[in-house]
Amino acid sequence: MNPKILSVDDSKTIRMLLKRLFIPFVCELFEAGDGQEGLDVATREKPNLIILDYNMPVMDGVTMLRHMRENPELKRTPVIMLTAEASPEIISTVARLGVRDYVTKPFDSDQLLEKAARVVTLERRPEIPEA
Amino acid sequence: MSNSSLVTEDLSLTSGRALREVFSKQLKLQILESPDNDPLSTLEGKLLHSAVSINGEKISGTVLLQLPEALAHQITEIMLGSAGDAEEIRDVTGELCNMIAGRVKAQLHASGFPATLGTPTVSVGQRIALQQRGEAQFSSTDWSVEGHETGAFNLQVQIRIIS
Repeated sequence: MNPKILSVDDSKTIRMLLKRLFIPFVCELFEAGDGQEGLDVATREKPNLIILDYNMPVMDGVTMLRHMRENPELKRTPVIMLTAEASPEIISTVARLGVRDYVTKPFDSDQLLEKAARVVTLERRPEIPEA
Repeated sequence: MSNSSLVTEDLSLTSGRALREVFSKQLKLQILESPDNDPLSTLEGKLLHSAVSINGEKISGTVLLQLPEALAHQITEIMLGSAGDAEEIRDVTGELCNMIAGRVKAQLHASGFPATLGTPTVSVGQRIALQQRGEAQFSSTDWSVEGHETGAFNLQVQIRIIS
């Protein structure tokens, strides 16, 4: 089964950047613009990896993580934080909540891909020969 | 040295370092400080402004990025891999300012001023200047992208220490 990756970020730019990053790989990509929407999509789709921002309207990334950890169906879902927040308090809070990795913006796309590949199998899509 | 003077001395350096880091890491572009005095004041065409607030118990401030439209288009194309529509160009400008503010905030945190970031607001217009308030520390620097003819851009940072 193809891995499912959920991107939760209020910035459309970041969601588009991630789409562009993962498009060469066999996976299903889902998006959400805040933590509440992220929870809804995660509950419905049961992603294999969530790439999560911290600072978002409606519900921030830490609150979403707390809700996930209380939900038996989502509590083990791997999460990589991708955020402009780099304060030690936030990093230690999300570490306690079991995030796999923490990437600060600005970020190197290859590095993020490498971290994602430690969580899910990223197989390149076969190239379609030109007609 | 008091924390207050540490912020004063480092504000231009801190914001310049943050800006260079964002441009080189996210966009693979090198930037240079512009030798011209206030180059945006003579620019024809509109600018995109993006502002992000930084607020904490002991600190309050704003980071303001101003880009000529042509440069904002170019940055959008680099980030998204295609020419974006007007909404996408605004979103990219906001995200860029958010990243710069995040790096400035991290430096302030390291100097003993923890804070949180606001959500970016983006507008279009002529060159603007942050209103300097009381004892707030202020930095305004003009930059250009090495090897690109898209014109200069401006970064302003204002930080006020709440006593």
